[in-house]
Amino acid sequence: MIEIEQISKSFADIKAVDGISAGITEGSVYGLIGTNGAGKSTLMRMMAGILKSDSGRVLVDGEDVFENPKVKKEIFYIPDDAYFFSNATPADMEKFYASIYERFDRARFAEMLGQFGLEKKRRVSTFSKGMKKQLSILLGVCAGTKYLFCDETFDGLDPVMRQAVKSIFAKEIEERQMTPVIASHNLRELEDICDHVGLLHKGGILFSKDLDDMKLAIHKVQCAFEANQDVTELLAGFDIMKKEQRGRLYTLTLRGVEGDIIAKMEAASPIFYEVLPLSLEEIFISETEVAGYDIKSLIL
Amino acid sequence: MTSSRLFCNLLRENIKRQLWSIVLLLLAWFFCFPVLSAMDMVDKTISTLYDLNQIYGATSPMLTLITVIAAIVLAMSCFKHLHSSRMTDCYHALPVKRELLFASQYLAGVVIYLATYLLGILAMLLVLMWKGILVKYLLANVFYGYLMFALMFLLIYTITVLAVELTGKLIISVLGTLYLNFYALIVYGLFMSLGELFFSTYSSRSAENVFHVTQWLAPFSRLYKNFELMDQRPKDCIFRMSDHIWNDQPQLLSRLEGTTMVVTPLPAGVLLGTLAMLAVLLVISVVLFKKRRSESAGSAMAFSISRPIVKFLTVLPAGTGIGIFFYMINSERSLGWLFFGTVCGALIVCCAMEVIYQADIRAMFRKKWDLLVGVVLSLLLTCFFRFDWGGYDRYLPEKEDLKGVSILFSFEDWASRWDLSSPKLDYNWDYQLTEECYYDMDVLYPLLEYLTEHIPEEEVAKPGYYAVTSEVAYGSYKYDSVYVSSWYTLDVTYRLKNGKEVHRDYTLDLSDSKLRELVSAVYESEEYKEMLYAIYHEEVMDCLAGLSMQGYFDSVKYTDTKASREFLEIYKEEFKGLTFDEVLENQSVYCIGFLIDPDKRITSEDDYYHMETLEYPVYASFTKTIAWLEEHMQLELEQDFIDGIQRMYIYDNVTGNSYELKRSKDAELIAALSKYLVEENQFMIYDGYRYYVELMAMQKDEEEKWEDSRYYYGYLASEDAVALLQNVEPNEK
Repeated sequence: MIEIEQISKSFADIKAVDGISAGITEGSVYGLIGTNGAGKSTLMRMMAGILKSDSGRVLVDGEDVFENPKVKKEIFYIPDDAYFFSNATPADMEKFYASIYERFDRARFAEMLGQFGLEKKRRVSTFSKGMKKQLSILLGVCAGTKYLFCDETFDGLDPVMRQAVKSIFAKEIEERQMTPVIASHNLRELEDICDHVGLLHKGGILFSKDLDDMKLAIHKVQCAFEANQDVTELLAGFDIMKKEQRGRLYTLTLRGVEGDIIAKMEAASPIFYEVLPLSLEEIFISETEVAGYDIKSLIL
Repeated sequence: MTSSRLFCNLLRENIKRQLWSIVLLLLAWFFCFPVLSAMDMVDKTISTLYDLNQIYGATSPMLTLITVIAAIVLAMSCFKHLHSSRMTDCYHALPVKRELLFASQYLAGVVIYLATYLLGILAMLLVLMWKGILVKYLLANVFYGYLMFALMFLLIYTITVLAVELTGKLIISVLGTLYLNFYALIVYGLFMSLGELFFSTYSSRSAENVFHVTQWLAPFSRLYKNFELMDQRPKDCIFRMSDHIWNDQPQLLSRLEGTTMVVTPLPAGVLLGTLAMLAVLLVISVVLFKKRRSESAGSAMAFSISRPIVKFLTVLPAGTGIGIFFYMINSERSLGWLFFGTVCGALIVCCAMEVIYQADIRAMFRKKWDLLVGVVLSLLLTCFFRFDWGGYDRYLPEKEDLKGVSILFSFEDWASRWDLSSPKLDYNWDYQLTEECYYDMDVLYPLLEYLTEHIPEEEVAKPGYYAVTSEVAYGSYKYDSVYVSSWYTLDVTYRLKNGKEVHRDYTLDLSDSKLRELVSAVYESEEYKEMLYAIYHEEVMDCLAGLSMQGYFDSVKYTDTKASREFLEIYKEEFKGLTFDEVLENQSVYCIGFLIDPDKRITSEDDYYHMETLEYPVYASFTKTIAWLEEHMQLELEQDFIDGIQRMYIYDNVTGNSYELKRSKDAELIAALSKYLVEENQFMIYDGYRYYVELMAMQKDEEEKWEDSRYYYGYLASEDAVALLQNVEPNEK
């Protein structure tokens, strides 16, 4: 369990993270989304015990993470632009991390290197950006830590690799309750992997919610009514988050359980209605607009 | 994973990361040790052994250079992650305590240096053994050198690590290393310059006191001082033996054991002090490494608090330094230029520092308050020295606070101009001011009081010529006033009862009759003479072996010890009665040398053998002394010497004419003038005789054959010379 309590961090005059609180439960995938400069990397570096917060604290399994090797043993941090020693090969990096993380699975590393088509004795400096990302993910996964912090890790991976990594994560979560925390500026990247998301903006967290809860609680309905029907009265019983109208066609974003919404729609007797699947992006747009933010300008 | 295992893993990995440093160092040691020693090994003689001991000893310049470069490069390389946020993140994300990370990185550099150095030594010894050199006579110096260079490496390495921790960019780290090593020395130099420029009574010995502090503030000055301490051959060093022993190899080798050190080992106190200095630097390094924030990588200064400190510590001396530069290059030496330079210097340096901090040229005027404070503080510092706000020149301790005062009149510097190597009798230039002390404050204090109350104006206090109004004998002529070649000073060390020592150098304007009277009182006091002159020191005069007569072109020696002691007693009595006026106004008639036998104080018979001579003046008032000399010693020039004079060049100080006499046509005149010849000696008043003479004379060897000619310099000490030269045609001017 990772508990972030009112954490703040400034660099000179710039407030990078401002009073963020969040909780990350074990065995789930937590997505941190936000634009560039929103504070994702800073938050993640504080969670990894690299940066010391100006105020507040990050507790990992109940202990402060900064300068705490016992806790940091359970954390592997993959930065956006990972550092590899000069002239090092994947084998060198493996040796280095294996000497630090005692649960490092060297056999698995060798096996996965083969699966990803990465040569063990080739210098990392000759790898492409995507290959370096793959290597750092493999190192992170094989380190055997409980928490894996990935900063923009999927950025630069091709769709096939992205799927492969996702499946590795899924397997690790299933097998040993690994908890990946993935920071990205791209909502679509996290949609099919995250269980929980936190949206950061200008150093603060707009909200942090369970994705399934959000998906179950928000629905998009397209419907059309007769001209003589009083639409306002008919829709009065719905918790409408957003309403768009084109002629007599309404697109509604409604909060509530799907069954209740269908029952209410039936009762309103529209010409037709249809409950449409809602993308994570749409959920976010709706939620943040409700909160008073123009999310389109932030994340799209 | 246990922390020790983790540490070993980290250390191994960190050493692996320094592969290129290892290769470069191995290459350097390879050429420095086996290759160079093989090249230098001319033969198997003692001189080769000596050379090898010098080259690989604790003061070897070559090893110093390699060590300093290795220390800086390894420190920068082992801690380079502090310059890059990517690398910092990588290391700081590891589940390792910062202390452990520091230790593994710090030790990686140390292990690399020590291991490669040792490999170099072993390779060299193998080569030398293969060539048949007696390497066992090298081991003491080589391994003492190894320890001393290890200490030097650690100091430079640690201070460089400290500089890297304090900064976030490579170039700034390099500047920081220079800053930490040289700042104290530069400020020391600046204060010395300021003192010399603006304080009339400034003593460079005050600066020495400051240096005693600064040498413990920066590794570079500490190492420089350590080198100075070690860079002398110990007394029992086999290599001090005289030549005949050197050539007698069997005897020499039999005595080599234990006497092969070519340097003086560092005193235990200094060694401990240096180790303590290293420990302090190391502790600071660990604390800074722990406190240093990861986000500091890439920024000029890692700790925001250090920014203003470094800035003002730089701006103040830089502003004042540039101020005095403008002041000195300007012939008028006006206050305007001093302040202009100070303001400009402070502004420029303040702006430059801000540009460096923010890596932005547009940031130069961003901190206006800093600019203002920097300029004001620099001006205050300049004014502090220029107007002596600290009261340096006015300093005079209370009479009752004084334990005693060490004094040195500049006209008395000859009294300590002798060089006895025995530690007990090690009189040197500073002896009077360090070992001797004057206690009769009733005599001395009024002089000091007067000097403090009559500090000359700045221009008067500068080096130059000072008028002596009294009449000075000028050969046969007398002048109302002449300029002496050097100004007179009185160097003083106040020894206070609380143990403190304060140094001042006063300028003596002897045209001031009151001052001259006060100086005379000190000079003519019994305590002064007994304190200052070696002839009154029994431990020195116990070694008296004879006399030598200086001033007669070929010194005459008299080695009857008993009679010499009898002469000493006569001389001591008359010398005690010598007045200050006589010293200033009269030429010494003779220069007598007291021969001190080194055998009586140096036990090693093989040591450098040389007789010391203590030279003393004989004035016309020393009638008993002169009578003794006339009775016991040859005081006239020998006829052989006069016959050997081939050429005589004479310069008339009064008319500016010069004459050149040659034996071939002026033999008689040369012989006549020779009666008045006196050789130049240290007690003569500069240009105190009218005629200056240069002689080229030939001398007879043991077989009565004329040998090579030699040159002599002296004067004609009689007004009769005027008449003799009257009809000689002078050279063209």
